[in-house]
Amino acid sequence: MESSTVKAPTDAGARLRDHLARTKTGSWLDPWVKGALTALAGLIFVLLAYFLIKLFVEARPVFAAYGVLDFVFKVDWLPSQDTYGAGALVAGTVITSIVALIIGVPVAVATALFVTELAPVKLRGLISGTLELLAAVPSVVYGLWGFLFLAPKIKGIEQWFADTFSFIPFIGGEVSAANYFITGLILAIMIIPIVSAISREVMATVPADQKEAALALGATRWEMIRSTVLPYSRAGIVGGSMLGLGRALGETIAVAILIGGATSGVGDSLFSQGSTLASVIALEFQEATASPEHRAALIGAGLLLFAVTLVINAVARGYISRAESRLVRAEKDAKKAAAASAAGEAPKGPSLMSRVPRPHLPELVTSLSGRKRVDSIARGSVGFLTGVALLPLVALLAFLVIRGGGAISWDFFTTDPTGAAGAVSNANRFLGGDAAASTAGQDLGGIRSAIVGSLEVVGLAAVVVVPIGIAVAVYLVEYGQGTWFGGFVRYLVDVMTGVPSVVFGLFVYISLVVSQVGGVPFAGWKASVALGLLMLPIVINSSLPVLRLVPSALREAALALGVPRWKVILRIVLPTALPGLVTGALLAIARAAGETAPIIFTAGVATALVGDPNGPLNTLPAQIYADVTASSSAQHDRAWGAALTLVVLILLLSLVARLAQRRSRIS
Amino acid sequence: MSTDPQTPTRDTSIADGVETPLQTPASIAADPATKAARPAVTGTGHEVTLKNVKSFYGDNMAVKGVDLEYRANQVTAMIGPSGCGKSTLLRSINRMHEEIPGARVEGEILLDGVDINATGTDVVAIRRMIGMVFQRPNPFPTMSIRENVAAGLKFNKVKDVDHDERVEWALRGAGLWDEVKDRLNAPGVGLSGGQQQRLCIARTIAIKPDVILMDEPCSALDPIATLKVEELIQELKQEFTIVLVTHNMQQAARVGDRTAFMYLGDLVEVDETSKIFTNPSDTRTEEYVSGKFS
Repeated sequence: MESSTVKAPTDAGARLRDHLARTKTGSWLDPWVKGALTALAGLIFVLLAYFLIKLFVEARPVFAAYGVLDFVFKVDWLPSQDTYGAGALVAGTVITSIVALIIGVPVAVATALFVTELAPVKLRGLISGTLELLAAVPSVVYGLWGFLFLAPKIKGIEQWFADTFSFIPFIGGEVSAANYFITGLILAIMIIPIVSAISREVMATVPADQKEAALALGATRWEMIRSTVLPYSRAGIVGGSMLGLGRALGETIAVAILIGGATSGVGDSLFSQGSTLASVIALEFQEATASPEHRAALIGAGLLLFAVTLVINAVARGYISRAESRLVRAEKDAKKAAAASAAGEAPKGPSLMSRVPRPHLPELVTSLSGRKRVDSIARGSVGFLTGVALLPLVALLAFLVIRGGGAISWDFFTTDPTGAAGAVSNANRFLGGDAAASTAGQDLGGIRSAIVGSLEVVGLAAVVVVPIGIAVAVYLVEYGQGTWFGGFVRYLVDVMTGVPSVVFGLFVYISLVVSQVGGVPFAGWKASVALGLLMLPIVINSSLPVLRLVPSALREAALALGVPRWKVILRIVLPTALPGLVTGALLAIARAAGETAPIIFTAGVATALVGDPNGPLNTLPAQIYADVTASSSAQHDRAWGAALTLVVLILLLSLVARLAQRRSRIS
Repeated sequence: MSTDPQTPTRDTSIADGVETPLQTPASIAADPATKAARPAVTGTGHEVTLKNVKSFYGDNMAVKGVDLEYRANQVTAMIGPSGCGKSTLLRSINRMHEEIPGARVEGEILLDGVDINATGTDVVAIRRMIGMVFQRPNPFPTMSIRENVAAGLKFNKVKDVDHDERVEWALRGAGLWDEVKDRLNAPGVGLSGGQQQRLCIARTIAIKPDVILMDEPCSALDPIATLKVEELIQELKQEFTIVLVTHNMQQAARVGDRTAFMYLGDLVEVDETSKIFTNPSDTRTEEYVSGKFS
């Protein structure tokens, strides 16, 4: 047997050498693929560096003229006199965001509690699905609804409130149609889905045995929630609220429609007009083309906004990861305790006690009937707040369907908006001209050019950005794991996620539109660039977890079959992750399709059907924005029709995304 | 369930190894069509020689200088307690070890006298020569049974063999043909765990490597599936050199021609399986095989 196995090694060796020499494996491509993917990841750095440098350089004049502190805190933004102190804008941003948090967070936490702890199982999916629907509605539609429906409806209530509580500072006086409060209210409705979703996720991680321990001690349901669920998920709720705050700070179009646009000072009361950092950029950028100082001031406002959002998002992420690591820590503790007890050590008294949830309420409330009353009141108000959260959605959807459905006809989709209606209102809005021609009785036309333009702008952005985003995600998962460069790129992507869309719009405006790249100032492809910048971090962030879910066993199996790494990625990793990648890309596209602020900066004003992306293009969000800010009710109707169209398109995208997710082969 | 009439009895194969004429499972040999597609490998066994092999994870040496010879057309079973470095050593042999960031290998690993770690050697080509079967069955979820088996051929753009014939050959070789021949286009992940593992073995032998490394191939399988895979290993050694890492000493005794015992990164002893289990030279081996520690 020994002899039979010892073959002439030279023969076999020669055969092997020959074989190795002749085998074409394609592995020579590996370093190239790795290099190319690394370069793409490096592109993120180049982009972001150029973005920051460009903004700083352009904003320098205003910082040089006023000094950073004066620019931030002085309250005199007077473009007509060329003095710029952003204090009033900062104040407006802070006021609206605080209103949004005060109203939005309790409601969002209540919905999260209701869905995870109190609601009948059948209702849970329905409510969380509905809230996700709320997240898919683009902000311009919120602005439209707030401006045309909510603001007039609640003006009376606001006036009553202002009169009754006028003794409180900052409340009282005449209620303006557009004001801080109504803006904050709409922002609250917009952040509820985010805050609620993150709170739900965190609450779902509360260990069932802790909850059962509280219930077994005789706690009522509400006492259980207070003693276990809320303390456990506090960090996550704070983190989610901060993310919501980040969203509220950067929100542009809804605010621009609702806040009025006064910049000369901070309003006297909660119910007076004002401006935020984001809204002033959207409302004034066009007139600023004439004045370099004005432009520099707007860019300064954009930088300020970016800086604040960056800090808020960083803090938020810190809180959320703390909430997640708490679970890991608890498991570690449990393991340690188990090991200690296995080793025969008696667990120390205090550490064991601290793990038991402290049901303090049963001791405070002595009679059971009193505790029961507290329980039912608390549960009732949680349910009530959930209803409050769902109410605006129902109202919004009902209005969309009724008003928008009324505007929609076959002609609506097959004709372009007439030049008069679209262009005049736009000119009015942006150019400060007084060409407010009467449009009454005139045929306004439909929204064909807006639909086609939207598809063109978003499609162009998606075609370029989705592959790049997935490639960067592939780099991060396949090559960048554990390297400093991978971690650095990952961090940059997080930074990019936090950039408010209006700042991207501003960036494209100053770097592509003002310098007339391509021979024309405004062009559809420039809007695509802005949307692409917005989509890139979303695509990367949604692709990362999907690619990480591809079991490494599959990669190893393919590698062990003698497949070069690039082919493993192309033929194994990507096909396995495909459904999830499609979902992420579609959600990014849906998000971009509803963006308004970056488009009005870049695509310009157009009404006719144009195919050429190197020229002004009409888009659905821009059309809605132009129509809602016009004065004729016929244009408002067209805005509703366009809004319904946009929402249906976005919901279709989200639906397809969901279906793709369901096809996923990796759980 | 198919039963192969030509399954060799385990006892004889352990006792006198290559006494039986070299052949693939009889069903394949009997089929003239597949015979034509198969290059004559019979009789040209391939051996792997390790010379002072050290495997590192960063600064941590997991394999501390192993000299070992894996003989051609034999099953060498690797046993030892968890963390003794047997899986790391196995993964060093087809250079899968270096896929882990910071991992590296020192020493010489010779396949038929050729150093697989020599500079300029294509790692991908080496892995085609040295196939691997993993602990958990890992069929590609996006592919059908047929595509899974043909994956290696397709990825490597092997054009001079008929893929369908090779798929049948490999599935017969893995003892899976009768169970799946009517549903070759069904997804590979739809099979049972044991079938999936045999599918992975079929996928590995379809590209005809010289050596097959098996990393605890039965640890995720039930006893009946384990038995099937063990019988399969006995047949596969007619054509391939097999290294089997196992946690299960009974399994090593059943299928190993030779058995190597590793402890704390060192190779303690390698010898005929019967000797290892009845009369080991080293006391540590004796303690381990008699269950004194694990």
